This record gives sequence, structure tokens and C-alpha cells, in this order.
Amino acid sequence: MGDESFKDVDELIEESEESAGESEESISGSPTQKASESPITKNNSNQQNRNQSNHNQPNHRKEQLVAQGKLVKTTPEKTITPNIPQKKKHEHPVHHEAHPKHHFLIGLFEKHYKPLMLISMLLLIFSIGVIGYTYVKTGDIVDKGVTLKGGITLTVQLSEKVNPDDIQTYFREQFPKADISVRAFGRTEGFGGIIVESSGVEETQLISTLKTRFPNLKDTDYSTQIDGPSLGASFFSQTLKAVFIAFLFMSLVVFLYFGEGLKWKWIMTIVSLVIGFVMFYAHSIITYSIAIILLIIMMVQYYRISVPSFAIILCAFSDVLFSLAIFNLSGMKLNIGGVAAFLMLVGYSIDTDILMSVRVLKRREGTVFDRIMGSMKTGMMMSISALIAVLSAYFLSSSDIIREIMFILAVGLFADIIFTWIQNAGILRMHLDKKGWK
Amino acid sequence: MIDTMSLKKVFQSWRIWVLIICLVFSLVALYPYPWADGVAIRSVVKDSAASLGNIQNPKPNAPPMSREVISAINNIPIKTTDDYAAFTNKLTAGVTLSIKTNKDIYKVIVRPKYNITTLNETELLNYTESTFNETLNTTVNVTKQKTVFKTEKTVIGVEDIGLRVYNAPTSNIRMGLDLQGGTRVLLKPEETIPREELDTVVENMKERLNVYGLSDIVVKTTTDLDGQDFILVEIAGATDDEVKDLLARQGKFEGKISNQTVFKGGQDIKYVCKTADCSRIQSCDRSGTGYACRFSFAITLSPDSAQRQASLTKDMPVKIENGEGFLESNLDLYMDDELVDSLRIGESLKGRAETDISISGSGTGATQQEAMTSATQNMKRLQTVLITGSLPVKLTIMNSNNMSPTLGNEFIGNTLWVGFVAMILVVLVIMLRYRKFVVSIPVTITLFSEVVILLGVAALIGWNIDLIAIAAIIIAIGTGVDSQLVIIDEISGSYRSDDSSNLGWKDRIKNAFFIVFASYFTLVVAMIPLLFAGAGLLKGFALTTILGVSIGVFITRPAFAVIAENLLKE
Repeated sequence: MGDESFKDVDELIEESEESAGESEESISGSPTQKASESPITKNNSNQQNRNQSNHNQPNHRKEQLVAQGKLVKTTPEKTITPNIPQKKKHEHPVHHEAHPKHHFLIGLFEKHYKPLMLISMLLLIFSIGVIGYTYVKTGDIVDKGVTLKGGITLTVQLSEKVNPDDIQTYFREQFPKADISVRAFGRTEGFGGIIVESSGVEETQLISTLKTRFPNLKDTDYSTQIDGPSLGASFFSQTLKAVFIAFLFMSLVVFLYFGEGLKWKWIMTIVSLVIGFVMFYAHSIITYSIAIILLIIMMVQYYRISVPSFAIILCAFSDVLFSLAIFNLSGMKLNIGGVAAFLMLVGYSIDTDILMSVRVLKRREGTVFDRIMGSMKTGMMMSISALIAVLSAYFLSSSDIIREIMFILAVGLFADIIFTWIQNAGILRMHLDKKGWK
Repeated sequence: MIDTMSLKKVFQSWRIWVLIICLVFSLVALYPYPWADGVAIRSVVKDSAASLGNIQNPKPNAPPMSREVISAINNIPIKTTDDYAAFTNKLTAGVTLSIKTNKDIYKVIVRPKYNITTLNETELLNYTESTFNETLNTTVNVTKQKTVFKTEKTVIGVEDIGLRVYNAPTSNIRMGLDLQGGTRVLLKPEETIPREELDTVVENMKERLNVYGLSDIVVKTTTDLDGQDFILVEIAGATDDEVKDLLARQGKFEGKISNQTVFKGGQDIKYVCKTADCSRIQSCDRSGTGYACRFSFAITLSPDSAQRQASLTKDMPVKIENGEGFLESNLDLYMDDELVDSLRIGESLKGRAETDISISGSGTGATQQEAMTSATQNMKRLQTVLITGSLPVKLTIMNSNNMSPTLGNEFIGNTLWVGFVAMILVVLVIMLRYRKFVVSIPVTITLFSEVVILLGVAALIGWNIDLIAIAAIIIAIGTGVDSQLVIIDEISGSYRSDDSSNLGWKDRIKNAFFIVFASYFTLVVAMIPLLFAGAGLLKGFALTTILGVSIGVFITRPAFAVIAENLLKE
């Protein structure tokens, strides 16, 4: 019986959704009906209200069509109904003419979001594949640079322009047994040089060979960095630890924000702290395994009690994996700066996911899809401005460490666009569909 | 566009005042003065002409702008380190310099540099020794005589006046070593030792570097996630290679006769002579393809160890070589269980408790000059280690980083340029997006204030801005832009729709900051493990990020919301 009336409403809503995403003001711009309850306690009551409102909806809708948007807020039943003033706003001619082709894409995004999720799934599988391949090939999940592997890095400032490949051949001829690579750095006028990375050569030998090739080189023209292999190894294992702990607590924060039920929040906080401590003081394979198994159990539990939280956590995971895969494919080698960048991704890349989840779950204007489209306007802008900052630093900086960080962040931010709006939004919509949200 | 009414409203908000006060405090802490010229004193070498002229060694943790800056020498203005180098290269011995700094005028007499060689003749030397006279119950100076080898002094140039300088700082921002040049060495104790002993190591290391003549140093312990302790040593400015070696030396110095310890460094050595009259390069000879130079310097042993030596040599047989009598066993000097030198003991010393002995060693090189330098370096290192005693544990160098000051300078310029371009582009894109010029005003103000306050806090608590911290600043600012976009969209949206009166300004701000804080917390918890991981090598990155986003969330972004609200109302 209810099905019939649902369809009607759906059609009505779809009409308005055709242009829903055109301007974010219309969506984010009407937190008008947001009830004044605190965001955390709200959801429990909403669920009950929603069941009622499913039946009431058609009537409300009609009433409002007549009332032309004179909305009276605060009663929860009314808060889920789409409001009409928005529709009026969408029909603003300027916006329509400015982005006519968006209709098709938005339609695709709205109706076929499930098949679209295949893209993100394939990307995730692809990432795992690349990382697995790297592991099989090199024995580690990433190709480690000199600072993590041990060796000598020479950063040499040169006034003349040189071909790094020539220098590399020169060095390799001099030290046939060592592993030496040379690349150029610096892009601004007049400043530049080469970076020599080597392992298996003595510092003094390397420098005297360099000075034979460039007789005018002064001692202040180059920097030497020598990394002991044991430090690199312990540093790398600690990085994995740090990523694990960062991930654990990031998940907890997300759950505290989007999860439901005070009891579970307490349980998860305590469990996270315990796992964190176990990992922090873990020294043996057994304690590592226990911590990892506990984390997996926690993730399953997150999925069971709060799908939106799980979706965000999965997105952070996907962002990091995808960036790692692209990093491996780029042929770059991971150094200490890159490690910082990956940790940064864990916390930073989910900004847009948080924005979308807050708007979808805690706001009541428009439909779920309206809210996603509204978030997308803000979120895309966030990603674009962050990408601009990161990419300009990548292309303009002559510092290797900054460029490595920015490269990883750029890939991660780019991946986040796909994983947020296809994967996270998809999971969220599937979940809310099941719950009967509109 | 911006009328006085809305400006008035902006300044009525306490959030704006918090921002303004923080900005003022930061500027005071930074104390920027881009027109500064002259050269700042980094350190004063001990016993050098400058140190005799009463120029003080600056404290290592003094803020950069409080450093003493030389503006002129002999009324010739010194603007850069190049000027300084050009001036000091033309010095002649005996000249008195009048060095003018921002604090005082110093008189420094330039000393000649001698090359002292030992001749094969002996002479009598008068020297004074203070001894305790029991009948008078005071210390009296007694003049004694001893036989020493004759030396020959030749002037080979001008001695360095002993100042280490760098271009005068233009603000209180402390540049990291990769920007200003310097050496960073990370050491690990080979076995785990208790905290107090680790602190002894740190103190000892500081002392060693000070004795060596380096003062602009940081020595601290760090711990990693595995609970391993490390010692991080940072030395600003160009340093010699042997410093690294000096740090890693445990410095366990022992004198042994027939494998029995006579004295140990530290406790048994009362005095180590470093002045030219009793420490010198003795002789240089060809050895193999290169040269070898020998050095020797005098030390004073404790009476206990002198006694030990006497009892050990009492019954030792004497053998005659070339008409001179020597004891059968040599005095073997060991440094960290490695034989440094083996000295023959003269017949006259047999069974005598002699406290003044001479320590010697050698240095080699391809040319005579190189051998001499090497011998001088070895001597200096040995003296330093003997004065400061040994470390309770062996240390290994885990990672050492020698950063060029010229490269660092280029990086500073490049980074400023990158930051500028990134900021302009972001502001431009935001302007294009909202098609409003006014939006760029609060965005620019916020970005700028975030950087200024972050640098101000860094200057205040005295941590270094290095390349990786700059990356963190760029990212912290990136998150700042994200938050600003959220704030703009949350507060402006409802104003553009027809029906907006329902949600007040406060609720809209609350909505915006609900999102902003979620991003903030996730980023902070992701950075916290990095504070502890990897021997603190990424601590600067994590701290800068956490501090940057915290300043943003608590100071600049609330103020941004106030400005944005009033501007977008139009």
C-alpha cells in the first residue's frame, strides 16, 4: 500500500534532483530545518521518526507544494521532506545555462551509483595488486630509498648544467660494485645540481671521485647525508607501527563522530586504547599479530554498528593504498619525508568524507542525494584548492624532501576524490536506502 | 563594498581581538628586521685572539635576534660574511683590531701563527709549580727546572682570530640545519643504559664540543617507539669532519705497562696541556709513500697512578740501545682498546713516581702539510677526550648529515617563492569560484596570520624550521583553506536562499565548526604517533602540523568566520 505512494514521491523528488547539484547554496544553504537537538543523540530518535514519516511523507509533500515553501521547522517528521524553495532556486536560469552537460553525469551518478562503485573497487584491487607485486619483487611493500635502506646521499650544487645520466655512468664506472643513482634537482634560474644516492661506497671515496669530475667544487657546495642501515630498518618498521596507531585512532575519532550509542563509544574508546598500547609496546611477531587481529575485529564491529563510520575508514585506507601503489609505479623511492606524507594522508585525506557524512547524516534539508551533491560542491572545491597548493609546491620546489611529500599528497588527494564521491557516497546511500532514508 | 558598519561589527567580536593579539605577540616574538646587515657571532674559539679580547661566546639557545652582531672592524663596514672573510684574509700579525658590535667595541690583537719543531738538543726550562706547604699551611709557588728538548719557532702566517660568524639574522626564526648549514649526527648507545647515565653522556658530549671550540650546539636524547634511546647532536654552521669522530669516541683512554693499567683518562689525569709551549708537532718524516708527523703534549697524572707506575717499573730490567737505557716494556697508550702509541720509558724513570709525563701520537698524509694537519687534528681530539673523560657506553653513528650552507640559502629563497605562488593560486581559485573579490580578503588574512602565528610560536619556544617543517606548514595551510571553504559554504548558503531566518548565525558557525573539528581531530591523532616514531626524526613535522592546525582551529578560523559572515552579508 505504501509502495504506491512512495513511487509518486520519488518521481517528484527526482524531478527536482535533476538540477539539484547545480548550486551548492541551495543545499548546504538551507540548514534551515535542522532541529536543535544535539547531533549525537539525534540519530536514535530519528530512526523512530523516520518510520512514521515514511507514511506521512506524501501528504507533507503535497501540503508543501501548495504552501510554496513556508516551512515550519523543528518537528522531526517535517525535517526529512524536501523543501520547495530550493526547487525554485534551482531553476535559476544562469546556472542552467552555465552547466548544461552536467545533467547526464548527475543522472548517472544519481541512478547508477552502484555500478559506478565498480570503478573504486577495481582501483582498490589494482592497488593491492601493485603493492603485492612490489612485495614479491623487492621483498617489501615499497621500494625504499637511501635514508631508509642505508647509504650516502650527496646533494651537490652546480653552476653548470649537467646531464645526470652522464654523471651516473661516470660514477658507475668508478664504482662498479656499488649501487649509485644520480638525478638532477632545482628548477629555478641559476640554482640546481645533482643528487647522488649510493650504497656500498665510502664517503671519502665518493667525494674525492666527485671532486675529480668537478674540480671547482667547494666544500660548502654539497651536503652529505650518511644513513646507517640499521636505523633505516628500524625506522621503517616503526613507520608501519605509527601508521597502524594513526589509523586506529583516526577510526575511533570517526566513530565517536558518526557512531551511535554511548555504550559502544565507551567500549571502542577503551578497546582502541588497549590495542594502541599493545602495538606501542609490541616487539614480537605474536604481539603484532594480536594487535592486527584485534584491529580487524574492530573494523568488523564498526561495520556492524556504524556503516557510515566504516565507509570513511575504508576511504582513508583506500587513499593510502592507492597512493602507495602509484608511488611504487612512479619508480620513486620512499624516504623519511614520504613516510610523513603517508601518515598525513591517514588524517587529512578524509576531510571531504567527513564533510559529506556530516551533511548527509546530521542535516535534514533536501534528500540524501541533494545533500551529497551539496557536499560535493564544497568538497570538490576543497580538493581542488588543496591540490593546487600541493601541486604548485611539487612543481616549484627544488627540495627533494618537499617534492616527495607533495607528490604523495597529490596522488592521495586525487584518489580521495574518487573514493569519497563514488565509494564512500555509494556505501552511505546503500546503507541509507536500506534504512529507508530519502 | 566594505562599509564602515560591517567593519565595526567585525571589530566587535572578541574572536577578532584574539587573532589580533596573537598576531601582535607573534610579531614581537619574531622581531622581523629585513634590513639587518653585519655578521652575527656564532661562536668564539677558546684561547683565541678574540676570546682574549673579551668577546663572549653566545649562549646556544639565545634567540637569533639577540646575538651580537659585528658592524665594522677598524671602521671598515662589515655587511656580509664575504666582507668579513675578505677583511680577515688580509690581516698581518701584531695589528690591533677594533671590532665594533651592536653591544660594545673590542680590541683584539692579531697573533702570528707559529710552526714549532723540536730540535735534537736539550735545554733547561724554568717552571713554577704550586705545592702545599704543611708548615705554613698555604700553597706556595716553587720555581723548578727541568730538561726539555729545544724547540724552534718559525712564523708561518697569521693565527685565526677565532670568530665563527654568519650573516646577521633578519628575524627570530631559527633555521633548521638543512636551511642554514650544519651537521647533525644521530648516535645510539650500543647497550641500553639507565637514564642518568644517558644524561651523563649528553653532558659529556656538550663538554667535549665546548672544549673543542664549538658552542652553537644542541645535544639531546630521543626515544623511538621501540623504547630505544638515541642521542641527537646538532651543530650549526660549517664544522670539520673530525667532529663526528670525536662524538662517536667512547674515549676510554688507558696507559698500560706490560698489560697492566697505570692510568685511565678522566679520573687519573689532572691536567692536559693545550698551549703551544707544551703541546706541539715534534717531527715529520717520510714514511712509505707519504709523510708521518708526530705530536706530543704534556699531561699531569694523579699521585696514585704515578705510584702505580713506580711499583710496576721498580723491578723491570733495563736494556741499552745506542748508548741510552730504556725499560724493557713500553708504555702503551690505548684509546677505546685500540693501540694509539707505544712509548719507550727512559731508564731514569725506573721506580720513580713521576706525575708529569708526555703523551705522543702521530698523523699521516700524502704531503707533509696533510700529515701535519692530520697530526694536529689527532692531537686536538686526544686532548679533548682526555680532558672530558670517557663515556659510560660505546656509541655508534646511526645517521649523519652534513648540510651545506649555500644549498640551504638557495632552499630558503626557493621555499619563499613556492609558498608565495601557492598562496596566490589558492586565493585566485577561491575568488573565481565565488566570483567575488571580497572573499579573497578574509582568506588572505587568515592564511597569512596562520603562517605568522605559527612562526611566532616556533620562535618563542625555540624550535627549528627546517625543510620538512616547511612542508608541514604548507599542509597546515592547505587544511586551513579546506576549513575556510566549509565555513564560507555553511554560513553563506542560507543567506542566499529565500528562507534563511530559521537558523541563526551562531548555529551556522556551530555547523561549520562541527565539520572543521572532525577534520582537526583526525589529523591530530594521525600525527601523534609520529612524535614518538623513528628517533624523533619526524618530530618536527608532526609538531609543526599539530601546532599549525591547532592555531587554525582555535585562533584564525573563528576570526575568519566573523569576517566572512560580515562580508558575505552584503
